[in-house]
Amino acid sequence: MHQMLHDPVDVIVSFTDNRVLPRRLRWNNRDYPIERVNLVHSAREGTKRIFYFSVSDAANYFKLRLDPEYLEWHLVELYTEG
Amino acid sequence: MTPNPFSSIPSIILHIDMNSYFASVEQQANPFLRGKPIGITGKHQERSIIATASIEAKRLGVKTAMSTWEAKQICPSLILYPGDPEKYSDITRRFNATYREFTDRVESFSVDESFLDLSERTPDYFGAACIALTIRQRLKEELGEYITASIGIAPNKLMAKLSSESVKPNGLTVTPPQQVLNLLDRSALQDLCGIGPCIEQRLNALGIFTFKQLRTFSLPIGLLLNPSKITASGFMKQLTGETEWMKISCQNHMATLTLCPKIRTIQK
Repeated sequence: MHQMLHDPVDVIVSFTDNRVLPRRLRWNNRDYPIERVNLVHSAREGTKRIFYFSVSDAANYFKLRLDPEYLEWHLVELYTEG
Repeated sequence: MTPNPFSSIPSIILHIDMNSYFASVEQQANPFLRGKPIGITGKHQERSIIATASIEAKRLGVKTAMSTWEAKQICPSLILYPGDPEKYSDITRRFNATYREFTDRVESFSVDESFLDLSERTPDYFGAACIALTIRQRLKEELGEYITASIGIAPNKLMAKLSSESVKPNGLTVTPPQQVLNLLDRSALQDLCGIGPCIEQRLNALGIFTFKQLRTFSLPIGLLLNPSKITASGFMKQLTGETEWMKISCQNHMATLTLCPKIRTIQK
């Protein structure tokens, strides 16, 4: 199942080797431990630079959007097998 | 015996071509797509085309630019996935930045292909192959293990591109000057960048079906290749790197590249 979303989420991150790595995601009152950060990319939105983290756990793929200006996280894509 | 026109050329050019680029990027981002046939489409999947098919989808007969309807007929298990152009642009910027760690003579040819001039970085093809392997390792660190590239090394851009396309995916093909004619003679006319169905048809009409025949053809064929006005010897000059488009200029930004003047112009 593939869904495009724009849901605000809480994310716990670690700062390692000059990088921000999402570690845990809270969405819909549920915690998802992030097992892998597969890809990080950025995109311009007007004057802002937005960061996208493609992460996964054992059963789901999440695409997280970080607005560094407001430090807001959104879940923008969810892919679940089956 | 025809003298080898490549033997005196000192240039060492690398052509790096990402394999099934958009699909590989999506498979890198989403591990649940790996090992599966996927097709990258536009937003409206049901009336879109396949912009890129994954390596698995290509093996099942799905081709680039096929309609999604046709692709689904050929491969019912095909997963259609909407493309993300911003993501691909960012990855392109990053792999070109990685190439610039090795030389400032980098020319972006398309969203997933670049040329690198290593002539001043290494004196021989062994050194160039070592650099290519190091670049491959850097790409893996920077982008992930699922985004792979085919690399060709040759005395000019045209031959480097032909070399990289000869082994896919994830190939490394070294074509030193003394091997260039062998590679050409093994290739079909349309394998060469710049020769499409129309030019091939015109060449065929002149009795030219192979590069061997093209090499020995001396009459101007401008009328038949109009408006390109290219001659057979002109083609050979492009192959041997004597024409201007073979050179890679030193620049730190996306290049404007003229490929085979008067045949096709690509602007980035």
